[in-house]
Amino acid sequence: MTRKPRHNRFITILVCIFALTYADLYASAKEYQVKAAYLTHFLKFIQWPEPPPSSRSAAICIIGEDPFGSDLNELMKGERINGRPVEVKRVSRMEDTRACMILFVSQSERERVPSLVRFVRGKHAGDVGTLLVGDSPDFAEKGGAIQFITESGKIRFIVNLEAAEAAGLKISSRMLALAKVLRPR
Amino acid sequence: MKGLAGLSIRGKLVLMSIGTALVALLFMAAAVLSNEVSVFRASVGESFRSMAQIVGANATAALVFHDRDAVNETLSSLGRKRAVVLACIFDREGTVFGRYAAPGPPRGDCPPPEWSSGYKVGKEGLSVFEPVFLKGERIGTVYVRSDLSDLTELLSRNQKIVGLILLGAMALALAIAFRIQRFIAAPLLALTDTAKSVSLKKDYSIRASAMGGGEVGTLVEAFNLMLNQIQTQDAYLRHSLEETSKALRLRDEFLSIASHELKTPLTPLMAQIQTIQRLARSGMLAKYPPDKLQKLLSLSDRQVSRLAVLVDDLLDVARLSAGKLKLKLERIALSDLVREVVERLQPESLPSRPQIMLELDDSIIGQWDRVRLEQILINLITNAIKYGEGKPIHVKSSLEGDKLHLLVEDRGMGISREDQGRIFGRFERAVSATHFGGLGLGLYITHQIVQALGGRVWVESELGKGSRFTVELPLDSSLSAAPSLQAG
Repeated sequence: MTRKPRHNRFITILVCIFALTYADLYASAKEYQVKAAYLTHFLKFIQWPEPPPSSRSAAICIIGEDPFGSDLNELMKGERINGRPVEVKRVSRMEDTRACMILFVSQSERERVPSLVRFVRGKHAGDVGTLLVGDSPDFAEKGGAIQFITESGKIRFIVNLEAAEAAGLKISSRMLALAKVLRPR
Repeated sequence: MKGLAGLSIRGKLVLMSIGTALVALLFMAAAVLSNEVSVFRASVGESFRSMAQIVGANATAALVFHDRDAVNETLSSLGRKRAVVLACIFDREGTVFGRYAAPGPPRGDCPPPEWSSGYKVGKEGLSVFEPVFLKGERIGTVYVRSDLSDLTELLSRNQKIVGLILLGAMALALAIAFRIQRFIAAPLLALTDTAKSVSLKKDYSIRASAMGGGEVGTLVEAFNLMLNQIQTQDAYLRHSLEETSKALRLRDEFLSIASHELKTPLTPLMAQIQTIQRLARSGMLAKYPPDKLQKLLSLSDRQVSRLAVLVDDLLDVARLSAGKLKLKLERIALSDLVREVVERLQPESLPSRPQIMLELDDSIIGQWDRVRLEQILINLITNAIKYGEGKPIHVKSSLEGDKLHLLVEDRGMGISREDQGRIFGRFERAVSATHFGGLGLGLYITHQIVQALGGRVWVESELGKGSRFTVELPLDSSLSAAPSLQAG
C-alpha cells in the first residue's frame, strides 16, 4: 500500500505537465489563429504599389517555422491584392522572398531579421513591395513594418511607419488608430 | 350664449376680433409647430444617420480587429452630443460588440439590429440603424438612439415664443377692435344720446349728426326722418291745442257775456213784475194811473223782447254749429223786405235814431228764406246803428250779374284791419263787451246764414271812417245752397 501514493503523485505530476504543455500549445495555437486573421485583415487596410504585370498572383510568404498550419491558407482563400489572387507560400531562402507581398518572419528566423530588412530595403522601384511582419522581440525596432505583441492577453501590433513607407506601402489611418506607431527618431 | 347676447356692440366687436385672431393664430401656431416637429425630426434623423455613418467608419478597423476598447472609445465620442442616450455597435453576426449609454437613468439594452438603414421615431425616441461597410462588405451595424430632449427643449422654447406672439397679437387685435368699434358703436351711442336728449328736453328740432355711410349712416338718416315727422306732428298738435284752448277761452268768455246779457234785462223785469204784484196785493192796481201802468208794461215788454232775441240768437248758434239750420225758400221781393225791416228797427216816432238812407232796386226778386234774410238785415243794420255813432246809414241793393249785392254802410268808428279777419267768427267781436252790449253772435250768424244760402259776406272798413258790409247772394238759393243746409 506504500507504492500507491508515489504512483498517484507521479500521475498527478504527469497530468499537470501534460495539462500545462497542452494549455500552452492550445494557447499558442489560438494565438496564431488570431495572428492569421490579422494578416488577412491587413489586406483590407494596406495599399500595395502595383506589382509588375508579370506576377500572376499575390504571394503571402512565411519564412522559417510555420506557426499557422492550415489556418492561414483557409483564411486567405478567396482574398485578393490589387486584383490578384492570394497564394500562401513557405520559403526558406532569402532570394525566394522577392515576389512576396507579405513576408511573415517566424520566431525561428529572428537572427536573420536585419539581413531580411536590408534585402527588402534593397529592392528597386518596380519590384514587389514587401510588408515585413514578425513577432520576435524588437522586430519593428529592427526595421520590420509590423510587429505583433501581446498585451494583457490581447494581441496587438506595432507599426513602423518609416519601414512601411520605404517599402512603398500605405497603411490606413483606421488601422493605425488601433496600432502602436513607432515614430522615426 | 345668453351672456353673449346681452353684451354691448362694443363688447361683441372686441370679442369677435379677439376670437378670430385667437383661432387664426392657434391654427397657425399648430401648423408651424407640427411642421417644425417633423422638420426637426427629419433633420435630427438625418444628422443622426450621418453621425452613425461616421462612427461606423471610425469603428471599421476596430470591428475588423475585434478591438473592443477602440470600439467603445469611438462610441463614447457620441457622449459629446447630449441628445444621444444609447449607442451600440453590432458585429457582422449581429451580436453586440460595443455599447455606450449616457449617464443618468438606465437606458436599457441594445435592441436587435435591423438590416434596413434609416431613422424612425418611436416611444423611446428617435433611433437610427446604419450598416458599417468595409470594401463593399458589411462588417457590422451602428445603432444610435436620441431621447429627443432637444426637440422638447425647442418645442418649449417655441411655445413660449408662440405664447408671446399670441399675447402681442391679442393686444393688437384689442387695439384694432377698439378702433373699429369707434366706427360702429360710437355713431350708435351718439344716436342713443340724441334720442335721450330728444325725449328728455322734448325738443324735436335736435338732429343726430350724420356719421359716414353704411347701415349706421342709414339708421341715422331714418332716425332724423322720423324726428322730422315727429316735429311736424308735434307742431300740428301744439297748434291744434292752441286753437282748442283759444276756442275754449272764447267760449268761456262768451258764456260769461251771455249770462251777463241774459241777466241784464231780467233785473228790471223782475222789479217791474214785483211793482205790479205789490199794486195788485194792496188793491191799488185799479186805482193806478193807466198811462203809468202802460209805461210799466211796455218797459217789461222791451225786456222780454230783448231776452227773446238773445235766446233766439243762442238757439241759432246751437243750430248752426250742429248743422241743423233749416231753410224755407220762397219768392221774395227784396225791396219790400228791406223797407219792412228798416221800419221795424226805426219807427218814425223815435227821433234819436240815425237816418237810414235806402237805395233799392225794386226789380230784385229771388228765392230765399224770409226769416233768415230778415235776420241778416236786422243784424247788419243793428250793428250799423250800434257802431255808427249816430251818423247816417246807407242800405243799397243791386244786381251784379245774376247775383244780389246788398250793402249796409255806416260812417262810424270802423274796424281795424286785424279785426276784419275775425269778426265773422263765433263769439268774436272787435270791441270790448263792457262798452257795447250783445253776445257778439250777430256777424257769425249772418255769415253762417249767407253761406247756407250759397252766398258770401265781406267787410270793407277803415278805422274812424266807417264800415261797409256786402252780402252777395244768388237769386235762387235752392240751386247753390250748401247741401247740408238744403231746404227740407
